[in-house]
Amino acid sequence: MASYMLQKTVTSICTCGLQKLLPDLFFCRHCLTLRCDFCVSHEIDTTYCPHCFENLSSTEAKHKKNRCASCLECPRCFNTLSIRSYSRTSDSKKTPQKMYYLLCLFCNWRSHEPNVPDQPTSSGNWPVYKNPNEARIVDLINYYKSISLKEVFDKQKRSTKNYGRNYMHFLEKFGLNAMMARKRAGLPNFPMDGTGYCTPQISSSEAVENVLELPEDIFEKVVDIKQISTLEQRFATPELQSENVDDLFPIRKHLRVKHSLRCRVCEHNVVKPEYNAVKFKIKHLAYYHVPEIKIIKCEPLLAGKSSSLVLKLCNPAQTPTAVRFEKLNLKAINIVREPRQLEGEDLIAIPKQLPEPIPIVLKLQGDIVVPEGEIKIAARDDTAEYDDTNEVNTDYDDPKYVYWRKGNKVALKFEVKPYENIAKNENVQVGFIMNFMYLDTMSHVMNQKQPQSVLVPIKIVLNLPNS
Amino acid sequence: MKLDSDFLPEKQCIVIDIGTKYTKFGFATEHSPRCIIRTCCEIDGIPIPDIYKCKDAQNLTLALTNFIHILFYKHALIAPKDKKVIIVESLLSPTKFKEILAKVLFITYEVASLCFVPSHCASLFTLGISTALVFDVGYKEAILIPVCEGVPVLRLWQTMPLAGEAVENIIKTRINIGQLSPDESIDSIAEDIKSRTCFVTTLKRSKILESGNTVEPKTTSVEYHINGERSIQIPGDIRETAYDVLFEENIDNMSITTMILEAIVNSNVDTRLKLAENIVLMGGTVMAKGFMARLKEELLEKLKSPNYKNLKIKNFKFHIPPASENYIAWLGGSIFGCTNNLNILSQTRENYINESYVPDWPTTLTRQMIE
Ligand SMILES: [Zn+2]
Ligand SMILES: [Zn+2]
Ligand SMILES: [Zn+2]
Ligand SMILES: [Zn+2]
Ligand SMILES: [Zn+2]
Repeated sequence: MASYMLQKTVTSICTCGLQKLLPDLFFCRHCLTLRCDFCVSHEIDTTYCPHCFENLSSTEAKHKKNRCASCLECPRCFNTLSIRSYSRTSDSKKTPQKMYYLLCLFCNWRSHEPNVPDQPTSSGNWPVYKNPNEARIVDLINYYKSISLKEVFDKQKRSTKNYGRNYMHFLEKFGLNAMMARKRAGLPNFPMDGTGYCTPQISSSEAVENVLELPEDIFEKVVDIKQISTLEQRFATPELQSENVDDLFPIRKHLRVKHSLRCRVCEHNVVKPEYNAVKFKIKHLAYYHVPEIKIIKCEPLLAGKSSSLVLKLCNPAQTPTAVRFEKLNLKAINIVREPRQLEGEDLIAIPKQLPEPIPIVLKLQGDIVVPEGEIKIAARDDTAEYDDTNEVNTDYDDPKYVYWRKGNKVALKFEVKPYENIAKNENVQVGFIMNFMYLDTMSHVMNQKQPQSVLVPIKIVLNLPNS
Repeated sequence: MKLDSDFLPEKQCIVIDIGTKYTKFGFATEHSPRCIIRTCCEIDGIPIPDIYKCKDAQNLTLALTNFIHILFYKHALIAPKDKKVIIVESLLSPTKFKEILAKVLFITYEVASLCFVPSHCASLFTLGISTALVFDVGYKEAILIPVCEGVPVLRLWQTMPLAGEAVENIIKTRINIGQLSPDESIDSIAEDIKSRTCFVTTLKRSKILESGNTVEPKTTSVEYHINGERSIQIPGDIRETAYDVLFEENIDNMSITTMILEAIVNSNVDTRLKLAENIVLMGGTVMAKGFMARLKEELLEKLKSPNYKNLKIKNFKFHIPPASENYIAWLGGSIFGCTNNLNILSQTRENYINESYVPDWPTTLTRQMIE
């Protein structure tokens, strides 16, 4: 399965230089070029629980530490826990009390006393594990906080002495800073000149000579491997990392996010999800704009011999397009990177530093003869699926290149000639450029004129099996 | 008057400790990492098992881009843009790795500031001390660097490939795991056997077992299930001696024990005692049951050998951290992130873009000393 997924016969080279499959690419309608995961920036749109689908605002998610308040996961198998109840009679005179515990229907793990006591309500406040050394860590934090403040303070003092800065400047430059910092640190205020400021003392850790020995019974104890947690289970609660499965605590479900993707160059969205729905507001996938290429026929390849290759092109857009092929010039492959912008396109004020493009390293194992001239492809028409009439003028089709046509699909003849020195059983890699006509229908801010057609070049790499 | 950053709402600060096997990740000021996850990522669907082994700059860039993406969008659930980042790192991690990580964070993810904190120094923040012999035994290697008054003594650094991986290799060679199906990995089975069944036996028992004799009481063997179907036996003697590889001396008479003693011998006479009485262990491997006790036994035993006879040391003392050893370096980073020093020692994005250079931790001054 994995190898099938990784087999990439037809790839396009993204503007950033990465080779991608068409469905993995985006088409920025402002830059008029391909973008991929690597060359868009990701923003967080909404946070939600993957189990109960509750949407949370980012502040809420932050407050809840990215965990769902209502869904709990089994610490053994990570499936969602169910809440079970039973009646408990502690006193024969009282009415029996309903008690709840957590049970995993997949692996049978249940919440265990005393760590996770049974609760009187179903929405029970299931306890969270706390490190017993919590207070010590708080002390350490406060200690180091105040030490660093004192350093700042001593520096101020020195600088006021040495350079004879006036008090106002001092106040402006440092005093307020330190005050704010103290306030933030939750420490009481102190006089502006720092007199009477002292850092809280903590006891530093005492090293011990008597370290923890192996438990007496470790050698003879019969080990039931099922009771011993795996590292994955331990790390799900880093502060606990219990070795015994029964001592584990239920895990609150980790939230997930919906991303919106933004083109790094023009800062426009290429994908934006709709709030509270599985729909998208904006979804500029290359798949909707760029003609898709599929290999439908490939004669066996022989070193130094020409073989015919038939590619099927399918226009996904609702407007007719035309394609024009070019040879791939390996020497110039890394030159034209950011494509020209549309006339009058609103440019961003300050161009920021973008990640460096990735140098394209391509090794071709053969030449390819591409069809000449412009080849038109009809628009996609979902209603005309059984209609055989072609809406594009096919009079100029050269039968040397056009194999057949049907609706928005056209099959084109290519010729592949692998180099003499190719190794047997190794894929033959060939490349070409497909320029396709993109009808720009966006109304750009600066010029509200007629839609213009633009020729968009896309570098295509074919990996042809040779066996 | 220009508004200082102190007046603006606090930017969230993320603390990341990228280990060779596990990455600790969370928010500064918090007391434990949000998650401990495998350090693994992919490039175009192809998994990269060891990010530190990526030699090629371009692959490392892609791998780190993917990994940082996973950390922020799957775990932190915040966009890294304009956040502060602390990287807790080993002083021995390659400069190239650090530079590429900085580039990915500053340029691709546009973080506001970045600070690299050496893990050996960071761990001391969890103890409230400033001088110690800090010994990190993780997955790939054991790294020893003494820290004096908060400054790592790079002259005395030592490293050996004696850590979790070495133990797993012993398990792989001594236990016949049998034929595995394609979706099972020998590495994860060996790790699982190590972490769930093995412990560090006492020096006495280890010696007896090594000489081929039997010990009383015998350690029970464990029935281990692979994929819930096949079961294999993990013999008792392997359970207790798998970790012994860390204490065995190589041809140069080096083991994790002699690493510590060599560091003490080579340090200034007046700090020797202080180091021996302030040993800090960190890293996942030191969490093995019996590790600390055995290390102490080995140290006391080795102290009798002629090489170390002149050391005027009688005892070794160990610090007990307030949290699990596998994340104390992270916790140190989190504590550091609460302090004002973070703002002083961080590099800002503006500075990075202008200088295009990543400064070292101020007290280490030169990384070249190591390389
Ligand atoms: Zn791209
Ligand atoms: Zn939920
Ligand atoms: Zn379960
Ligand atoms: Zn764009
Ligand atoms: Zn997480």
